[in-house]
Amino acid sequence: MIAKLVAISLTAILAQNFVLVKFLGICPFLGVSKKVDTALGMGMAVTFVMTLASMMTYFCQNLILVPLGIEYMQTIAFIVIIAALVQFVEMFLQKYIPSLYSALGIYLPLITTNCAVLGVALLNIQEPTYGLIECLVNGFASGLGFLLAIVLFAGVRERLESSDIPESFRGFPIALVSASLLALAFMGFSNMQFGL
Amino acid sequence: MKDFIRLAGTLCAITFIAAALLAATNSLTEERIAIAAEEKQNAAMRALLPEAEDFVTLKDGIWQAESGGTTVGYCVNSVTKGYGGDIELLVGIAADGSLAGIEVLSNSETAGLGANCTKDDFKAQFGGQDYPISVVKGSSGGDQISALTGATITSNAVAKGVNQAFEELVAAFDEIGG
Amino acid sequence: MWKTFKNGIFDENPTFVQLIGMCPTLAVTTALSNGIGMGLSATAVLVMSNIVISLLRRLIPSKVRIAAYVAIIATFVTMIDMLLQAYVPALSESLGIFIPLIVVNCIILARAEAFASKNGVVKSALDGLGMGLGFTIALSLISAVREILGNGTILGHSVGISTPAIVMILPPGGFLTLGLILGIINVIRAKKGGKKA
Repeated sequence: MIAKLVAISLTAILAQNFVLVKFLGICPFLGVSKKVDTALGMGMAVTFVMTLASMMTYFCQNLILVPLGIEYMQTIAFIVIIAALVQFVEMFLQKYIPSLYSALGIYLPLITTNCAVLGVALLNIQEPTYGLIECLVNGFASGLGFLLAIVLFAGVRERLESSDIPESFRGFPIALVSASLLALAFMGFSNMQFGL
Repeated sequence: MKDFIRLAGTLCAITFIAAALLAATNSLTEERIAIAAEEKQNAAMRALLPEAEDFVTLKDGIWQAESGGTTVGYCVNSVTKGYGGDIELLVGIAADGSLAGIEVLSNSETAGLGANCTKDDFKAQFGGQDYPISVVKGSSGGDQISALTGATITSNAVAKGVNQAFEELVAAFDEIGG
Repeated sequence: MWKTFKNGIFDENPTFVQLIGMCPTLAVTTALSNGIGMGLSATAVLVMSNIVISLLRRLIPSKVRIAAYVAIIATFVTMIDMLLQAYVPALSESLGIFIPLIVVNCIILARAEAFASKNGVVKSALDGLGMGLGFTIALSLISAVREILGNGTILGHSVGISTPAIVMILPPGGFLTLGLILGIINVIRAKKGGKKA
């Protein structure tokens, strides 16, 4: 069991990194990665929501959709759950943990339309062997993978700011070329199989 | 309070209409989706054992291919864990127990690497092999499968799926007593 | 009218100018057929959701509008998903999880919020069509480049490259292609004396 969970985590963080290999969550990856601080905040908020969303959608799938035979309502049910969850987390943090709210607050509304969250929910239920624990671990580890990618990328972009780049490539073009090199580095993990 | 009812009411109405629309689309397409899947399965079986006239279901996921009353082979569905997710294979086994060929029904492997397992060059290597199948890196000699470049995990997974299919067929015989 | 339509294709192209809807842009563009399929599916959802949201714009209370938009969009996405599975199973398989993920494609929600909720039905439909086609053109361009360089084919037909650079259809190639295309667009704009994207 432990070995399986470690394997799931390492696969989600490195070999099948959500951003750099699976191309999920690219919008915040490009949009909120100009500074390492904000990237860290966004990454933590996403990890938090992805873990919770994995749990909620697991219950929704197994307690509501499957028993009623309406699996085709998955997409709409999951996105509504995620939207409600994000709203709830926002209200909860605002009221009870204001310090964390002021750190993560501005990123939360953006997470509803982060495809990494809906992505992990949809990928979890495609794995027939995943129980609640596996889904939770996969959600958490995929979030960590997102965090790792966005922080690394923000570090690169901070350096780019002070570099002498051809006029036409300043901003997004050079950032995308750097992301390409980062993805190339992650390809190094691609033929590792973690004891599955 | 009045405001609350209006908010909740609008959302309820929208989701209700959405659910009704989806149920309608589902009932319209459900049959067609099943037919499409069946057609794909049948086409794959015919490609693997072209001399067969009829496929009789032995048990779930295993078919016996017949031609003029004699058995010419078997088709076995097999699911194996690849690099990017499940790989669904259809394995054709000839009546003499050798491998007739394989077909990849679905996969989510990396485009350009593992996804090349659907290419004919790779699949053709499996024809005429015997159980158990094994994979080597680089060019193969005779009875071994050479792995796809940069996709050893996928290649091994396919070989594992093929071996699994043989085992399932043998287990099915034991069960039925054939 | 014509301007509303043209806007999405050129001046405010969602991919090349606004840089939104990036996940499918990079993920499914490994072959031209996928790029076109994804672009047209998203266009269909965009046009229908824009029409419905525009029709309902006076009925939906603004406090719950985002939730209502998401529910409407998700409905159309699921319908497209089922239709593709039924009639174009091969495409449905190669686009995989990115079909349901059209729901969270920021282009669609952005047009609902920025355009359809403020404009009439005909204009909203045209806006959806223009944005959708702009998205389709961008995806087609990226996927054509990647398929030719990475697989040596175009729509499955060989173009005579004997050893294609596989990296172009792997994830790094996606970022690289988009980065270079954006850079080239900037070069062209600079030559024309226009402003930088």
